[in-house]
Amino acid sequence: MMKKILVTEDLVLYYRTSRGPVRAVDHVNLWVEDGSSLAVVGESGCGKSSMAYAILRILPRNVHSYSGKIIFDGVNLMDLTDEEMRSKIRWRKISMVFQGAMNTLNPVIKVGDQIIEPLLIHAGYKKEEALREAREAVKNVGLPEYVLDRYPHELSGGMKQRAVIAMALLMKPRLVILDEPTSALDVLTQANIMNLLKDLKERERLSYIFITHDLALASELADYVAVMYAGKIAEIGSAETIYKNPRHPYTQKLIGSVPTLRSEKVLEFIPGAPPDLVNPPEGCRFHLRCPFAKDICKRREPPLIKVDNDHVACWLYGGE
Amino acid sequence: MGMATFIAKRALILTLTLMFSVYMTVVIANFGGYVDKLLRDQITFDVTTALSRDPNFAKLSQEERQKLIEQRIEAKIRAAGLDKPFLERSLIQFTQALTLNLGRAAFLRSSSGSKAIADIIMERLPRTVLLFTLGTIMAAGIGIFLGLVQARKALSKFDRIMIVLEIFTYVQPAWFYGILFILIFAFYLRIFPSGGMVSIPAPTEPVAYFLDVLYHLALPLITWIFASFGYWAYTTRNIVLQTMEEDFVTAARAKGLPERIILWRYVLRPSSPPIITGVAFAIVFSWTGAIITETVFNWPGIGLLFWEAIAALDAPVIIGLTVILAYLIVLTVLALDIIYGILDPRLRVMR
Amino acid sequence: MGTPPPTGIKQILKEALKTKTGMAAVIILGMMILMSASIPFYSPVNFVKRWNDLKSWYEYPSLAAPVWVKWFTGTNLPETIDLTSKHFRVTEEEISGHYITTYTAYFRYTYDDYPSELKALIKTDIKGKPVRLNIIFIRPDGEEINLFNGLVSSGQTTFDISLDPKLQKNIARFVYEKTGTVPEVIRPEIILFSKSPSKYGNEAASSNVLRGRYIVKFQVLSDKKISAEPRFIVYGKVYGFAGTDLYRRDLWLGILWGAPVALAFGTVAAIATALLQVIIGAAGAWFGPKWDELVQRIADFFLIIPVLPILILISVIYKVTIWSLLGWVIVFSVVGVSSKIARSITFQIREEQYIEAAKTYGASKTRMLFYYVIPRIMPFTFALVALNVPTYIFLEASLSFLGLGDPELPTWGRILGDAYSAGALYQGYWWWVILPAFMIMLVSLGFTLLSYAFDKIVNPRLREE
Repeated sequence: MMKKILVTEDLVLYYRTSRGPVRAVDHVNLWVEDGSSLAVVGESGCGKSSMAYAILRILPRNVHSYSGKIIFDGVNLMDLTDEEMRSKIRWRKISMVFQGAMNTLNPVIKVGDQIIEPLLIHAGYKKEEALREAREAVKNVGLPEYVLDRYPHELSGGMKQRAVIAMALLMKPRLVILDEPTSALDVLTQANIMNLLKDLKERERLSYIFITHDLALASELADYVAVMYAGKIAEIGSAETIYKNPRHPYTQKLIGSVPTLRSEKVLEFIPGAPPDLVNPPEGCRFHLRCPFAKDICKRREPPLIKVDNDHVACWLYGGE
Repeated sequence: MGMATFIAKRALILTLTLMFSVYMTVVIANFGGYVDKLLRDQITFDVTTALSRDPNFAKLSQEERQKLIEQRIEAKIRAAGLDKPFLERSLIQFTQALTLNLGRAAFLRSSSGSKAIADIIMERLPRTVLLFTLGTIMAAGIGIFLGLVQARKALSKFDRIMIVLEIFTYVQPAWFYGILFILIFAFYLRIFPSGGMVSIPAPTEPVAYFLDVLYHLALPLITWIFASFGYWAYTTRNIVLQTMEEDFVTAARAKGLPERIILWRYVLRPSSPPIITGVAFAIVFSWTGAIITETVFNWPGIGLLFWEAIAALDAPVIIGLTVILAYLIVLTVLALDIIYGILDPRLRVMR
Repeated sequence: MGTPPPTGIKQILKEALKTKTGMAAVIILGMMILMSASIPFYSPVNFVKRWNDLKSWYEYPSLAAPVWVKWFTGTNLPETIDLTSKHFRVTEEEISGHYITTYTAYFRYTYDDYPSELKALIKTDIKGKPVRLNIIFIRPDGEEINLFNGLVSSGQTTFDISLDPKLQKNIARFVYEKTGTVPEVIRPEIILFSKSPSKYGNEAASSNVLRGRYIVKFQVLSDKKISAEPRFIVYGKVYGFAGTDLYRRDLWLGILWGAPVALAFGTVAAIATALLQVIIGAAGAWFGPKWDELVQRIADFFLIIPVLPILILISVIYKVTIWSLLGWVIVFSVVGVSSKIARSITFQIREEQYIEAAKTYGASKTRMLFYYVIPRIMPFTFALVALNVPTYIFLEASLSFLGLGDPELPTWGRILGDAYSAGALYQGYWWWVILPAFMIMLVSLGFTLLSYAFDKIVNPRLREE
């Protein structure tokens, strides 16, 4: 078994709202093995982005509660002070590519200056040295050097996305979190970026957390897949088993609803709507939409149950 | 679109708008010819009274007198261009106005007795600048500072109370506070004079004169600041807060940048173009003074001049003021387009 | 990740009511509406006409402070004492073919200050020759002063005791008889009510007020029997809830009337301009770049022209009424902040799927604009509309303040303008200024709070988490 670079235990992140706390991340347990990639899949609003923010401790003003353990490379990040998080972990160890790269670049600063900022601040580089590194980094993601001298709006969406990826890789972090890195791009650019990421993973021996709503894409790109539903992990396992042999009813439905070119299957859809995270249903959060719901599903939350090499949070696979 | 093309296009559009609004002002200020009639009456009156004082005139026969009067009136009307139809005259006034050939006032005079509109305006402008430009700058300074504090403490009790207070104080116009403040501070507390720019008689010694003006300036200045700081505070708060919620600020945090750098480079720099533009615009607008506020405080600036010109139906002065105003605004808009382009590279493409 | 902002109009109103600011706004504005609704009980139907007919207010004191000032100052300030014909006792004598009719009335004066003014009136229905009238004023200390002795003709005759030099001469004679000096300034309302003759004069101390039973006699001498209606008014220094103005008008009625006028003008102007601005802004963005360009140019135009000076100009020549002013205001606000909001939202909506879908099944563009787009935009303008109500109320007030508003309707701005031009600020007639000002501020506070409540619901940056 490989070493785990990141483990979360009972990770919780609730937001305060006028209607009560929103349970965006609700006792989440997951792990990323060193040098591998984990895809976190779920519908929009299921808490997958919140989970990424929770790992990096980038919290909005309205945090209700934030607790649990985040063990990164043997250290519990929860024990670090904010200043330690900022100067030791962010970008040096864990970097992130945000959803919608168009908005993650400061419009009034040149791309090059933004890319080298972490080098100047965290590593004490001189500007020329940092720019040399940056030139290298943009070349690595297949961009011409001149982008460094441009303002963000002067680049196309794909170029910006690559620049943001270059920025994320610049400090050679151990873990990169990619939040829907391609959802705003056209299909061709998407494919290019995907290949780039695969390629980089081989070359740089990176670990990834790859957040997406696209299960097919996830299984294509990641070694492991975690399926998230209403702030909780529904199922976590190797990409192949999850795609070919999904165990959780939600995962099954999710796969059933994805059109494929190869088979002539009838597309399924999931009845009902995702639950309200302020007032989630009691018991299993999926039971209202689950065709196999049993009595216990309505009463008790299922724990993660180990089935072969995978883990499933579903009463169909054991327990009482 | 390149920057040059963009500026050229804006300049062209603004010039056309300028021309259109100036012509409209010419028509409105003349009340569609009504003022011409007044001017003709005035000439008739002037000529008759001037001639009746002339001893030679009395010696003439009735017929000769009538003829002389008519000749003189006609000559004067022609000299003033009043013999032409209104459409033609409006076009003449329009071109004169556009070329900033402001001409002479119909009725008003400067305190030195000049009827040249440029003299009249130049006499009033420094006073308005003293009161309103100073007031606008101070109000913006106070407001922006407050707005930044509020943005940092967004949605705290302090912030929420300040928002309501700011909107509330801004909704009421300055003259409204003016009358209340005069009643309280000038009549009851007797801290400040109730109006005017200097005491009567004015002190002759320069230092005393300066202090006297300051003493008269205080209450209208406080009024103006009180009436407008809320706008700046609320706008700044919202702009800064909006920027704070941008993805690039979150990304900067994820990059582990220190808060100080995030605040300056990622929040304040992208927030500054709209705030700077707003302040610049307000400063230019402040040169037009405020009609009612100046009236209430009897502050002899541009606003009071506007009111005097309207009350006297002095069309050339009204047109002169509006044209200068329109020019100022157009030039500012254009200048701001350029400044904005420099401050915010996004706009070069967006527009 | 909050809950999405509500979009339905009903839903927004409901949510706005739930907040504290929303409640406060509803209470304030509800009070205003109640005030407006109470008008029929307070004032006659032809009130507007009466407000402008200054003669009809003669029985009211001029520049009287509100009654409640008494409670704060602790002095018992005089209220108006109006002796009408029914207060007068009539006695008749016949002496050698002449009739002497005497009308006698008394009143108790117990106040701590002098009256503000005195007036005697008589209405007679004699035909032909004038009759002789004698007005006698008897003080509690028994002093008798002959105020008037002369002829009056038919109809109503008014004696302005406080202003009439002829009557003042009679009073001066009284002072001369008492003290041996003639006062420089004769103020009958003080002399007649003053305790010690040595202190008669202008700056009489209020401690010197002579309290007690005063008698007023009207004697009519005529050669035949006549009937007359005498009246004697001792004007007070306080009146009603809001006092009176220089022209004796009851300010409370004016302030009351101002409420519906202000509310109607403000709301109609704010809603009409918002609707117009939204339609124009949305239409520009909806129908494509050419229309958008046109709307932008109109916006540029309105940026350059000075709207308030032009409105003032228009009011100077055309003498606007409140409704024509409303029209002009709307004309000058066809584009504005709401059209900007509408424009940016329309650009977003245009990209949405159901709009695409509606296009493919061939819905008409105009229909879609009015059925899908504009209803979606309106909630975002609520806060602005609420805030624009006081803005327009103040616009009207500004013009009225300059004396350019509606010549008939009493508005708060007009009352303030009257006060300003009568020098209320420099004479300290605070009630004439403070009370209408307070009303405008109250309305604008109400709408500010309402606007904030709306904004908090629609604008996520203000939502309380």
